[in-house]
Amino acid sequence: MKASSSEKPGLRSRNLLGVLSFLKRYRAGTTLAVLMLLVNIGLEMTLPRVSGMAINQLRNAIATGIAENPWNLAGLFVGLALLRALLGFALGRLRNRLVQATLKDIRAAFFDAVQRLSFAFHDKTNTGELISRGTSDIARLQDFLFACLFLGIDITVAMLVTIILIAWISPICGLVTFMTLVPTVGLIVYYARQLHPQWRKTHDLHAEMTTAIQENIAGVRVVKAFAREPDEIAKFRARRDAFVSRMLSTVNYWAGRVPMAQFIFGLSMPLALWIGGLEVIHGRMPIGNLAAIVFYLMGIGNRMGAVGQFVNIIQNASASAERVMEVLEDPMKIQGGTRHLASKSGALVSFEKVSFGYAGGTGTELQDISFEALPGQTVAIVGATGAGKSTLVHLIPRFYDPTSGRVRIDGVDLHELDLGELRRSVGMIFQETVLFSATVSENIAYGRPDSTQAQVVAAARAAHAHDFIVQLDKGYDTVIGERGVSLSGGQKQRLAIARAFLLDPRILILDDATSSLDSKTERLIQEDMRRVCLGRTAFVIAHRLTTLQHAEKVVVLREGRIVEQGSPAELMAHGIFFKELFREQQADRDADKSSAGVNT
Amino acid sequence: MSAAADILLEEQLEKRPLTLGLLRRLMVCARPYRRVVIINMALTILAVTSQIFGPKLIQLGIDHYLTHIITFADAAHGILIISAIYLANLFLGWGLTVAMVKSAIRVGQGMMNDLRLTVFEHIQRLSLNYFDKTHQGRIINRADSDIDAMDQVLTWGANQLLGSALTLVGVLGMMLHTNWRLCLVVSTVLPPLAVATYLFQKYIMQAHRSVRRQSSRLTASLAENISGVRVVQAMGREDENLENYQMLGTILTARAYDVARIFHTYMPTLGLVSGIGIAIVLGYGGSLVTRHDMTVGDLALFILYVQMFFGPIQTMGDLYNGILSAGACAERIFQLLDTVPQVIDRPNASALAPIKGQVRFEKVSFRYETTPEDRWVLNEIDFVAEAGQTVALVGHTGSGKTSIISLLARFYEPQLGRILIDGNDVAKTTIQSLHRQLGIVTQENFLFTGTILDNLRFGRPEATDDEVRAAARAVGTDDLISQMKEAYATKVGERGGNLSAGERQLLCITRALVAQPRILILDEATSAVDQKSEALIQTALDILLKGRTTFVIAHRLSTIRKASLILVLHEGRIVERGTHESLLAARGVYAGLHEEFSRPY
Repeated sequence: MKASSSEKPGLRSRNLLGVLSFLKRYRAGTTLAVLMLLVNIGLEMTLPRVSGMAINQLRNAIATGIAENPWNLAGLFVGLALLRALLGFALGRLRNRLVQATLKDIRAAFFDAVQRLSFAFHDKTNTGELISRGTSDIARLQDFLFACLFLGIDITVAMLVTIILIAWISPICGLVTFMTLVPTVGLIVYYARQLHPQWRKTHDLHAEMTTAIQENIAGVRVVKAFAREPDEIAKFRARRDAFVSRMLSTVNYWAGRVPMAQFIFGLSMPLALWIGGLEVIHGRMPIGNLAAIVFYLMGIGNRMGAVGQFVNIIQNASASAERVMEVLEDPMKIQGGTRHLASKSGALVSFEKVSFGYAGGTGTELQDISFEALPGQTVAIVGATGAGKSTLVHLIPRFYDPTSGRVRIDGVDLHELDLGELRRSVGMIFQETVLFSATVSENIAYGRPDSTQAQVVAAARAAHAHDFIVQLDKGYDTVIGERGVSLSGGQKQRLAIARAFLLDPRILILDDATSSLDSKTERLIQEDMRRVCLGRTAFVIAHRLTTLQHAEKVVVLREGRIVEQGSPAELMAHGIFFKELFREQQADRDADKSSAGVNT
Repeated sequence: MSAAADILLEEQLEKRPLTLGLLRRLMVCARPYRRVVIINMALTILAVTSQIFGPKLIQLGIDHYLTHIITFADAAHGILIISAIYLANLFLGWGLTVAMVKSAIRVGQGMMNDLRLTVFEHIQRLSLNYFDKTHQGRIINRADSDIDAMDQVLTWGANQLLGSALTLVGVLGMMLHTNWRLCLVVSTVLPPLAVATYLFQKYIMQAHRSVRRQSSRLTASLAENISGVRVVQAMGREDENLENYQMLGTILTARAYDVARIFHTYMPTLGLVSGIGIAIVLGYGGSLVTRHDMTVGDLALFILYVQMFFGPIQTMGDLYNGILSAGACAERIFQLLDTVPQVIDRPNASALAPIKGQVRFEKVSFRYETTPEDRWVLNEIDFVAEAGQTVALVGHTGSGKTSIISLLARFYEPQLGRILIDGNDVAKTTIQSLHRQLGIVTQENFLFTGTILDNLRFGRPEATDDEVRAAARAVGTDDLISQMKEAYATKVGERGGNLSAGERQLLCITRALVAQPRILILDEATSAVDQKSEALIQTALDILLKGRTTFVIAHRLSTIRKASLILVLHEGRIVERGTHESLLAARGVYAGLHEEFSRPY
């Protein structure tokens, strides 16, 4: 995924439109809001006229001596102002609801997209950047939505209407206003375009800064363990400085030029004074009308600032929109099929000439893998580090798809199976235990949230976790921290095991799951595993001989290929690679036995 | 996920209003920019003056040249002069604005970026207990988005505040000077305005805090879901998690609406009051004009000034909103900055001399912040490891092995007892000097984004490429690395995403070795690696551990057997100690553990 945004303007607007499409759901509300806005502007436009009329009235009164009641127009003015206030009251609320609802939809869509994207996507994606997209980029979209819906319409309509109204009073003043307005707006838009690549770069540098923060916090133990705090600070400082200097140059470019553009518009006032003044002097225009023009020009002047702000927001947003849409539209999802698994108990898992390579890896992580696991069989997968054991089992729940060959369960190609059902039928315990910030019960029941407490406890017992859980502060209701930190590695792993057990899966995958456990606990769990694996097809990645005890079949991997397979006894006797892998372990055990014997 | 899982320290913040103390702290941040701030203020004053002058010119034009016309020529000439002066004033105003903007940006951005670094530095100083109990997402929020949120206010706040205040004063002054009667009548709208603003302030601050807090929850939820996405997918939790997230989102929407409600009651009210003000001018002012107590030009002047009057009030209302929400962010940031690290260097802490490696635990007892009051994680741990010894810690999961190592590394401090290295109390030495001489391999195998070489050098950045390679060769990872796409220059993803767990572990072990530590700590480092690799590591470690004190947590018989001292832990106490042979002979707990390894395959 690209860290920086694209150049193509076509793509830019496509992304912005993509964001706007989230509004479609709220068509009715949006239309109403726009209408209300138009009425609001209309009301606003009448006010200077009323003031102008009042001044004309007074002028006539002075000239003719007949005074009209000034409070009539004052009353009208108040009435209009009151209407405007009420409208503003309602419009503000409606506007907020629309923007917030749309934003909520976008956030949810992002959340969902991220959690459904494949492992391959997450392998190459930086977590910090992803979080940044889901938070600060989406936050920028809030300004964008508001700007599009209301600011943009407000500015455009108000300016057009004002010019028309001025021209209605005095065509030449209208022309003057128009001729100062157009270059001003044009210049502001031009500057904004020039700035776009700068803003983009600023965003990217900001994201890099965020990544530094995120990684630093995620890896805090490593940083502290190696006393690397000063270096981390230096690294952060460098990133910050890069970001700051880019941002300052960008902002200074803007700050120098936009006021100049606004000055051009500002010329309209002295010109109107002069030209309009001459009209008044020669009696062609009552003074109240000139006053009205002056008031109108003051009004647009206030909006000038908003033009710059508007363009700014759009530019900022386009970068953010791209970053968000990119995730939403990423095709790296695993598409499930529609078929369901037939039988209820243990599944036949077959690999047929399966090859696979990671995108960023050597491309040959697995080559031509073919073997079968019979229903209810426990298969141990062994091999040196990097031989492909983990990769192999990751294909079973379709976390990755093979590049060639196929994997079948009960004869059905994985691609055709319903993905959710497939995943829930496979209980997988990863090497790295991830728990969530919630109670122990909630963590164990993660895969089956509607489990009963009895079921949770049963799973905990099977994982030999029950004993330590009840000793915790609040037992099963104890909340575990973000990384499950208040628990030891072994405890976390047992919870992960309990979690997998609770799924009652037909296929069980243990990716070196008992590595953190001491031998006694491991032994106990293995006893239970035997029980738990009954009726299930189990894959165990094993590094130790003891783990192989319950396996009915062993598959030996070497550099991505199967070099030997058979029952443990067969391989113990005849397996060359197998014996080499476990030779030293066996020698250790023999040595121990003899020393124990001596000391008896 | 249950919201109860959050430890909401900032709940208490909600009760405190925007305090002077907070402002004072922000001003301290501005101190380095004193000079620019003063220039900025001067510019602002000039700019406001220029602005107030404008309507006056219009009034003069109307009264002198447009209403009582003597000759056309004079009037035309006069109006031209007025227009020209207006133009000049405009030009001046423009120049001042540009200068003002540039100086404001210097101050605002300067302050923000100082703050970024300060926060990051402080985070480095905090102890592990803070990271244990605080969501990653929250900390990131503090260091990142909370500071961003203050951008507008820090940059423009002072300017707008000063400018608005001066404008108000200036305009009032001019109005008073022109016609004090009308001015007084118009001013009657001010007291209700003050009340409205006060109420507004009270409610909106709370609302903003709620929004940020809820937003933080969403970030934490998103972050957790991303970190744990593999488990989410493996357990098919997507639908449920989405539902939970949407519930959080709904609450956020409601909180945001609260803000809008308050804001969009206040603002329209301001607008209405502005309208009433102008109406008063039209009505009362009109009658004054009819009675020849005031000129038409003055009336126009009043209308313009009243509009100028309410503009700044609206700006201040806007700004107030901004200041209050920025205040909420600032409070959260300062709260972080005020967090005192749990483990800090004592005053007079001295650097630890190059370690020979004798480690002594003297009656150490310890519990975590989260451990219940009546329990100890470690209870009266007492032992001596001589320099160069390998000490193996064995025991059931949860017996305290990891805690001993955390204490040795001074990630935490024991409540009772002390830890001595070469006779020096660890608590009295500087943390940096200790960590520089320690090498640790944890269970997490965390790697940073960067090349393999960068990662391997992490513990000792001054290590040369040759030294890194030598360490890799000793561990046996040199071949492995050299075979990768770009060998040592291969980019490693976050969490070493494109490496297998075994490979990551080997890299982490290599990393620890490059650091040339005097004391090495291995926390179950060798357990997830296959036998062949493990054998390689064992051999290499044998060589490198000569002369280094090592603490190993492992369940591997082979590792434990070679230890000079084995400590058998059970529920936080040392129940047995000795060598492998002596413990076997004693036929105690250890022997029982060992039995299980010896069962026939």
